[in-house]
Amino acid sequence: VYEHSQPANRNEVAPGRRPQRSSADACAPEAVVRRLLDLQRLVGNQATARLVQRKPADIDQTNTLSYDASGKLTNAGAARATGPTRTKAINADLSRGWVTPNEQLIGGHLFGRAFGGPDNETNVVPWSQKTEADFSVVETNFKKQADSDALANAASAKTFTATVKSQATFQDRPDLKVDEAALDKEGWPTADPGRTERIKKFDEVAEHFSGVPTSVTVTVSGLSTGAVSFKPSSADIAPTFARNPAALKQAFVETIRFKRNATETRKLLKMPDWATFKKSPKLRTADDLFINKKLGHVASRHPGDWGVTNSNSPDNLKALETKLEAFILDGGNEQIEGVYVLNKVDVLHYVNPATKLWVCTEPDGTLVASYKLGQNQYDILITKGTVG
Amino acid sequence: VSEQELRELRTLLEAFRDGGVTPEDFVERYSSLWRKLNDEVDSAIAAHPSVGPTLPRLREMESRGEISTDEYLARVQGLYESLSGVQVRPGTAAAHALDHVYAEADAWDATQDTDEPLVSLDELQEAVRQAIRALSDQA
Repeated sequence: VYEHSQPANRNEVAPGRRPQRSSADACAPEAVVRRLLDLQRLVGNQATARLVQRKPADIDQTNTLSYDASGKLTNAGAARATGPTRTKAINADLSRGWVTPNEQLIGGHLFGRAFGGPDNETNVVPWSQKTEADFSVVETNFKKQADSDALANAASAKTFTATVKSQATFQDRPDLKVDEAALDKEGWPTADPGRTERIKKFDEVAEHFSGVPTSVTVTVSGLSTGAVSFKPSSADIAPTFARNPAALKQAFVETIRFKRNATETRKLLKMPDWATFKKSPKLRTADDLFINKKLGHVASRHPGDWGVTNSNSPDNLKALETKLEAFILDGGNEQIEGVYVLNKVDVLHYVNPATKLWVCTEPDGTLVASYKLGQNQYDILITKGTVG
Repeated sequence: VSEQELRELRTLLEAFRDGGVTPEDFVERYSSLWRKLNDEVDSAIAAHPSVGPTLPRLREMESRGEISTDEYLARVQGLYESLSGVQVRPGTAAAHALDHVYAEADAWDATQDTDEPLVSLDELQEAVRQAIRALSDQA
């Protein structure tokens, strides 16, 4: 069974415990740092970042691949994040021209989500496509070896455990911020109200990119073939990102993703097996539940738009999924590359001009939202590429 | 949609702004009222002798690049001006603001019980405040 270890990082505090400290040192700089770390741990990186701009907490986690005496892996998959992850925010900053080079990153799971690795910042780091590919090979190989070792142990009815230690470090990125002096240098008028907004934007950018790890190490031990270690170079983790000089200028206009009549692959990420989902609740994976939840939202909030009932029954959701997929695959419905709600997510829109029915997915086919647009929303979608 | 229903919508927005209604109740009730407003626009477009047939032609022209996006928006706006009996006309600041609330409310509702909600309550509140201002300006 998947278990999270107690934190090994010296900065970490075990859940439910707080370090003892006297009131005398409460205002010392170290005490402030400790309290910030406590806060970060308590409410999460995202919430803390709203209060204090700072990098994510370093990752130092130990997890296990646990097999039972029959050689079966018992780890349960982790739920999938549905919100705006840091990687998406970084990629949006890159594609909109705030930072260069525009080399899009991938959210890499240091401990696989399929094994129970959480889909959040305690386990996921933005890194390059190359590093993701390299790590996939390493992960496939150590999993294969662990499977083999587990089967060998099963021959004598023994359980097997491999240990995966994941570490990542982060640094603040003050070099990505701008200040009043930098804007003066670019010739911004002193009273320009856009100055505050531009400084705030680069504060956000700096916060986003502080989540790109400066080092990553994943070590797997317990295998019969010896320990396996993965430690990409910093250049492989990500390129050296810098502010786009053009983005400091007053006249800079960010590039908004928008392409009419796009020709990306049309697809919807679907429930793998509705029959199993319906009959065997215990066999439902985290991905199954994620898809079910997304469809359930559309069915409960917009049933009339899609001719389904307001019900989360598997039969109803399967019918909805079939309709959504048919709509996406129908070339008569325009595909638009664009963004969704406050420009937070890069998406593919699918819309029918006559009915104004609309489906929005992430580029990988994950359902984001779907309903019948209003006339005004439709006009904005086809002229600006955005809904919300 | 009657004037009374538009007042109801505005009252609901203000109640949410002031904390007098839960986010869940707000999403439920707002979605229903927003849908009514848009059904009203669709009915008016369908009933109008020239707006209904002209809109698809303008879309085609814009899509083929025969008219610019700005021209498309200006011309549809002209068509919307001729619609009668609609409480919130497409293309107006009020329509934009109410649409934002709808999209953000839907996104909040879909992800609010996750680690990283797509839209925060603060953002939804801000969208609601903007909609209240836009409706006041329209009045």
